[in-house]
Amino acid sequence: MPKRTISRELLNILACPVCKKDLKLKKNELICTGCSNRYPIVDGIPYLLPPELMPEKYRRGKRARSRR
Amino acid sequence: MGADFDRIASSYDKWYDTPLGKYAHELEKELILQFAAPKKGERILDVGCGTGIYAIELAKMGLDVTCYDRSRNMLRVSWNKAQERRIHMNFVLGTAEKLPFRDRSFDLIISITTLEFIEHPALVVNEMKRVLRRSGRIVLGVLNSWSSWAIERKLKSLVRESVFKYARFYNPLELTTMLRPMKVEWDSTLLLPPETPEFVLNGGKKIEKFLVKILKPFGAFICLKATWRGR
Repeated sequence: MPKRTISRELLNILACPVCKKDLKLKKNELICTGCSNRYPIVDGIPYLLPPELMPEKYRRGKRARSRR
Repeated sequence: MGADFDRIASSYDKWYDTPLGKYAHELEKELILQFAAPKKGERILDVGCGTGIYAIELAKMGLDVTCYDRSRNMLRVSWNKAQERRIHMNFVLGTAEKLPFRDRSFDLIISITTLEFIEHPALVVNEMKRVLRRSGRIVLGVLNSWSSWAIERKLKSLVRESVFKYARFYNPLELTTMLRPMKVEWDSTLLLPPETPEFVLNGGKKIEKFLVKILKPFGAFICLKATWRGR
C-alpha cells in the first residue's frame, strides 16, 4: 500500500499551482499560504490542480462540506 | 476533448514491446540521454512522465526524480513500477500549464512526447523556464510534423481510435522559437519510415546515423536542449 503522506523534501519544492506561494501540510491536505486553496493528497500523491480542473469529489468548497 | 490517458494507461507500454516500438525507443532514449547528460544527485522534473519510462531510468542513475502528470492512472502505473523495483521517486498530479513548484527548483526538466497533447504549449514552456535553475537545462522530445511518421500517425488515427487523433505535432523551428531567449541545440532521429521491414531495422542504427547528417530536419523524433545564455 502506498504511503499516505509526502516527504519533507518534496514539500520544500512544491508551490500553489495558481498563485505560486508556499504550501503547508495539514493532515492529508496541502493548503496555500497565499490564496488558501486546498489540495488533497490521494494515496500519497498530491493533486495540485487548479480548482476549476479538480475532480468534484476532491473539491473542498462550502458545498462539499455541507454534504457531509 | 483531449486524449484520454487515464483510459489507455494500462496498455500504453505495449508499444515498446513491438519491433518498431523497441527500435524507436532505443534511438529516442540515446538522443535524450545525450542531451540531458544527467548527473547523480541532480533534481529532475519529468513533465508528462506517463508510465515512467524515462523517470525510472533517471532514478536508477541516482537522480532525484519528480514524476509529474495530469493522468492519475499513468501516475499509478509509474508508481507501481517504482515500487516493484524499489526505486524512490516523487509523484505529483497536475496540469503542465500550471506547474506547482517553486521558482528555480530543478537542474533538469525533461518532457518527452507531451507537448503534442497540450492545449497551450507556450504557457508550459514558460512554466518550465520559471522552475528551472539558472544553471539548468530543459530537454524536450517531440514528434516532428515534418516527418513521414507524423503523417502516417494522423492518417491512422482517422480510421482507428488513437491518442494521435488529439496530437499536435511540431517542427524544430516552432519549438526553437517557443524556447527563446534560451540557447537551443537540437537533433533528430528516426529517419527510416514506420513501414521499414524488421530485417532492415536490425541494422537500422547505422543507416540512421548516415541519414540524419543530410536529413536532420525530417527525423520523426526531435530532441531539443535549452539552456540559459551565458552559462
